[in-house]
Amino acid sequence: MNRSRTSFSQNERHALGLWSNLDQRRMRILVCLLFFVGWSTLVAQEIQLSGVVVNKKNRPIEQVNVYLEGSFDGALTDAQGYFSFTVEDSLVDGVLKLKHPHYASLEVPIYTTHNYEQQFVLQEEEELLGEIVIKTTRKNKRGEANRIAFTAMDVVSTAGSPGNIIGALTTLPGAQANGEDGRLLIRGGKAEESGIYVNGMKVFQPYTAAIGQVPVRSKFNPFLFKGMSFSAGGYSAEYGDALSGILELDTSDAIDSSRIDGSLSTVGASLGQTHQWKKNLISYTVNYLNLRAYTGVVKQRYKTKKPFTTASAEVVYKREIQEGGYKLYAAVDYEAMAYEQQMKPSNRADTLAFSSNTFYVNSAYYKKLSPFMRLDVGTGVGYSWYKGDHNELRLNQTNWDVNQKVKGTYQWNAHLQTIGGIDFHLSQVEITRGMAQQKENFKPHTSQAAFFLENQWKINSALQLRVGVRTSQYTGISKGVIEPRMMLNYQFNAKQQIAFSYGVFHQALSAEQALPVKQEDWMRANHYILNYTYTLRKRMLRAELFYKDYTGLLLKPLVKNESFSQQGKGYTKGVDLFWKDNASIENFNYWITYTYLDAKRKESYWAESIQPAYVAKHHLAVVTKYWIAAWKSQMSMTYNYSSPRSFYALESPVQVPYKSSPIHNVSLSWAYVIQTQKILYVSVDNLLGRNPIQAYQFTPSTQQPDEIRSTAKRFVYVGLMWTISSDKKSNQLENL
Amino acid sequence: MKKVLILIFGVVSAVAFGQTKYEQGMQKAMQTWEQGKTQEALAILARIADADQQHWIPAYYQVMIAITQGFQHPQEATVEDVVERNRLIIAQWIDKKEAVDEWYVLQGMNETLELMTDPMQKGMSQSPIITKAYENALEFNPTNPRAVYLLASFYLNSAKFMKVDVVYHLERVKQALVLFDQQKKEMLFYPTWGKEWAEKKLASFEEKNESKK
Repeated sequence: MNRSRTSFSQNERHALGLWSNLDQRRMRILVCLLFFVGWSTLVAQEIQLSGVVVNKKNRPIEQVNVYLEGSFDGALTDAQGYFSFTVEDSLVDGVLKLKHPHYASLEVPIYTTHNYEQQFVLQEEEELLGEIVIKTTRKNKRGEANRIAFTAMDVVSTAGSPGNIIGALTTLPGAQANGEDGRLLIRGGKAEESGIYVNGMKVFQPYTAAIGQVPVRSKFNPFLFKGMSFSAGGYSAEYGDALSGILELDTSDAIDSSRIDGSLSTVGASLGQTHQWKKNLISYTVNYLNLRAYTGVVKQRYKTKKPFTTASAEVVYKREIQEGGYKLYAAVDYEAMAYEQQMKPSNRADTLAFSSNTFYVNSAYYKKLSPFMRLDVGTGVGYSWYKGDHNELRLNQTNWDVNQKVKGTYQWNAHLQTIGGIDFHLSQVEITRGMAQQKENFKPHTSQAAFFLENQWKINSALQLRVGVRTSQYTGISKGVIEPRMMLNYQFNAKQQIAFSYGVFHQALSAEQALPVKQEDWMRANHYILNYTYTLRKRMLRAELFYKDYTGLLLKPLVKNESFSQQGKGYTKGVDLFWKDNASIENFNYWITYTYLDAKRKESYWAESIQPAYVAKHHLAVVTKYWIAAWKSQMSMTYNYSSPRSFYALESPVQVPYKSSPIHNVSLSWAYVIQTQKILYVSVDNLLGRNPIQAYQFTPSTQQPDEIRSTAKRFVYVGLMWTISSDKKSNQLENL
Repeated sequence: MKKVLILIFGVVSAVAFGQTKYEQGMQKAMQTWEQGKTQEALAILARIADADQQHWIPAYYQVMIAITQGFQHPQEATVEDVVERNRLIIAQWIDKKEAVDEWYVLQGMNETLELMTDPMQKGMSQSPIITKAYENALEFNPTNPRAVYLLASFYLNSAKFMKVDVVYHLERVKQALVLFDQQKKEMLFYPTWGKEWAEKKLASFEEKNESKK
């Protein structure tokens, strides 16, 4: 395609800066013009248009562009909001326009033969009738205060979490993970109480299969997700079935350009390709991980019979359609391992051999039905198969999950937005377990249906209210529940805001948890959260006070003849402090998170309210990232501290608890940019080589509990990553 | 006869006036910009754009000025809003297929501004977006000197962070200089800028080479 030409072709000679170079013909016209204009000015007079422009609070607005429609004459308001300009005419008949990027444009009809002076009030842009935003290119500035958004770069450049979303998340407020487990814990809740969502649909198997005491990882490749946002409680009515909080991952809407990514590391290799054509994009990654070579070199505490192996693939397909889009995300993986470990101090041999397969597909379709209405239809299907032998106890498990959600969004006006929808979740599990001779087989299935309705209301420019309600029905529990949720957000000024959220959250025991029990009731939590956020030029201070209380927790006494009940209860209270600074020191970013948790629960076999074993009272994380231009490197260091946790023996929960070690973990990573899109990455986890007792394991047969420690002192990862983008250099040269 | 003459003069001058009104406005905007009164220049361009919504030139300079203004102080909090606003305008004109190469050039510059707001975090994700924009411009017009120069210049600037074929890209800057001189004035106020930047760039690299010797 060539450049378009317009009717100005006769003026082609007149380019920028050449306007003095008028030719003869134009000179003559100009003379006429001068005559013509001169003649008309004889009869014309000057009319002065002036005024003051203010906002609703009567404060002057600077830099408002005030002008008459169709004319180029006008003025900008000064610091006092004052403007003034003259029109050379005997009559002004037209429209006076007032424009400012942060305010709604104002158009005032004007008809005057005399000087004109007036005060104008501009409304802030967001008070206007707003259309639904289909594509948000970046996060809403006035996002919800109690959510934290982070990016793929945050994940990969945080030392100690090479590519593991959960690992990076635990350096942010509200999230923890324990060294022996690795799953996401939110503010004193159990791992099962956190929900993970992709494009608004629940993910059923977000972690790699648990291998004894090796912590699990999240399965997601962070680069496939544009936005990740984490809510540590008080979340929207759109989501349910998570007592603690939710992690939302969104695959990006944007259609990127074609490229190939590869990586090779000490533990495996991966290859990805992105292909874009017209309004379509397909992107896949295949990943193979085998610890044989690594565990051969670096001694582990366990004896490997079959090295840990993973083969996985993720596919993203996107298509842009008129006023909407379609996104498909699919992931499949296979994992296997066999190992034996000598437990200390009992010298008992702990053996595990397993293989597992999972498959997950997630489809999201969204369309703007009218300027004010948006429809989202999402489907998630998950399948997982696990076969394992743990100390001669065999477990075969197959899970099927289907999640279907339909959501409508309606923008009544700029102040009020309503979302509403239905959310179905079907799940089926088949479990065969026991010794070789005596097997038990179960095949329960459950279904859950929920309706949600929520209003987001901007009361004024400073005050925002979200009020919602969710109702849920669950097979096996006779009564449904109604969950009110709300959040009130007050913005003092551009820098400070305060938010209060409250919500009721219910969760049913999953089909496998509920196997030995007749589930009668929901587990319930009430959240009360007060948040204060202060932002100043890429620095942020965030403080959050929270209180949660629990009822309906499951009690399952160890004594066989006592029955199960849902009389368990508990609470969590505490404070999160978060400071992030990307501006004070050039090329240096850091953040500091501190969480204090006071949690007590009476659940499981505990007869008393105690601090659960998965809760640590104090958490501190310091993350630093430094870009050293001379070395073409980014160095990153993460320090994590967790105070000792308490573990209670099975028989006598009231006796003095066993205390795990305090955890001090320093991780270091170094990313070196070799050349365009080729990066060498080295990371060391637990640099200090400390060997803390992560947890205790109690068995009925032994007096002393077994100690659980990390499988190796340090974890060293060396990887090479490269990207090949579609290169047009050569054909461009030919074009010259 | 006189009457006829007056009539012709009247019509001609009216036509001339109709044309030059846009020209006058643009001239005024450009002069104001050259005087360093950026906000005023933007205001005038906004008025012209409002009056003549079919014409891409006023919008082009609005975006162009906003970007160059952003380059002066990329760390300022408002810059991200400016980038976002520019994106919408650029996407709109690319869709209208008006001077697509020039709009892609602005897109590359606008995304460079986005990168500059937080180079450490955005460097990796923005770089392919920026080079893609200039490559798109070159696809539409391989002889666009601004696209040739800016793409080469982007690579040369990244030489601080990674290995870049400096010789090749300096060669491209030289080609751009030739193309700058071959530019045809397509229409009034059609963008022709950039030669001085390219000369400076080349000079700065040649200086470096001199000092190395």
